[in-house]
Amino acid sequence: MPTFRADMIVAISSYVEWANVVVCLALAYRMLRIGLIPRYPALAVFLLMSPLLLAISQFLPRNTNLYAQVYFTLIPLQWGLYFALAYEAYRRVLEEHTGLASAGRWLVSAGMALSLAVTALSLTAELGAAHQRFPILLGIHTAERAIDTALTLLLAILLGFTLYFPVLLRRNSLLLVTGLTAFFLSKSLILLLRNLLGPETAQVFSLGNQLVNLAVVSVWMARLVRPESDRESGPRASVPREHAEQMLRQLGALNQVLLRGNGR
Amino acid sequence: MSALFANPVLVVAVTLCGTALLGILFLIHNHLRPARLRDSIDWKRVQAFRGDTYRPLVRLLSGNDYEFLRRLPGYEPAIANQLRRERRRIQRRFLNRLEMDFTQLHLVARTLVRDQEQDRPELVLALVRTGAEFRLNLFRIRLGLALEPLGLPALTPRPADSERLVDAAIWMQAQIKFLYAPAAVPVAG
Repeated sequence: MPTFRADMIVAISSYVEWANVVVCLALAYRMLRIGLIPRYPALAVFLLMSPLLLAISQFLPRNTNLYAQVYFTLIPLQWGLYFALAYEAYRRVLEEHTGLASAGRWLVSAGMALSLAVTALSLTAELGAAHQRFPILLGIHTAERAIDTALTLLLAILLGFTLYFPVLLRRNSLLLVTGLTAFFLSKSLILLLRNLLGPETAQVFSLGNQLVNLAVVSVWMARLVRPESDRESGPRASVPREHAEQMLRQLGALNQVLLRGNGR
Repeated sequence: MSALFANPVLVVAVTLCGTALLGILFLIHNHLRPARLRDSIDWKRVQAFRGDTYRPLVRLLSGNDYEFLRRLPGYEPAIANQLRRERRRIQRRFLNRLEMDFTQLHLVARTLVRDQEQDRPELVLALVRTGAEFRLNLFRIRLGLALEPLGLPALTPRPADSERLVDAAIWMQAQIKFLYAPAAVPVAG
């Protein structure tokens, strides 16, 4: 029974992996057609990287030095790409709000420091785990989990900032930032489980990762719109003059009343 | 595969945590949709706001009336206690209303900062600080009211607490004026 289940997961993983490639390539093509690539270049590279990784895993012989060399070269590149994606999300979120530009930069710096500190604390879970068969692989997955957690926290802080101010986001930018947060959050939790439960669960958690990737890219595929349509949903002045003037009169009245009451 | 079921509590806990966080993310996504944000300012409330409404709050927070009452012939502590109870109820209502009004006004101020053509980091920080101070002060007053029956002098709301609420409103008024008419000179906070 367990063998059957494992086989089934391998088969499903294979289908999901190919579905991922198809959806990623289709979205990259769609982005090219509707002119979204100049606005989201990191996302386009991310979408093209998925088929590349699949090709390597399918056509390079496993358990060879060549496979390991290619894998260890691509992994840091992928992590760099994750940071580029997060930076792209930050830029798209705050690009049209000049009044918040410096505050946004401070937020990212402070958010990065905070998320790194929280992530470092969370790594005690892996460091305290039982010894595993493949320590180098565990080290790589732990590093990846740390990066995913840090980026999740950073994007969550960015979302908190946009809620507080309240930043009006274009539809595509909102989809990008929430999609990336969901992506990194899911990956981070899946990797945490994989690291704690050991390499025997790698297959099932790899399937989980693939499903998350497929879900997020499918939502982007279905919901991203042309830049022209996106512009219509973008920020507009949202405090009409008559409302603001009335509000100022009322605030003035409030202050006078309170000052009189306070004897100032 | 069996390793997956070796620690079911961990798997269930992480899955539930992840589902809850994704649910929160979905709610944030819905809340951040432009159409929702444009509707989030309650203009009806902002327009219906009258400063006169809050005059009694400052008086209620000061202890002058109790001192006056104590000097009257036939004064009994029970009378002051009864008055305190009634006033606490009224004060809570005032504070709830003031909080709702301030929330809306602060939201308008944040919206104005957001829509500025120039980078205004000092205003962003000051706005965040004022909002936090207002909330903290409000919390302290509410805590003081809740614990007043225990007679802890350190926690009893004082006029100075209400003064801080006033300072927050003064600062906000000056900044909103400045933001809405950039030629005007802002009052130092």
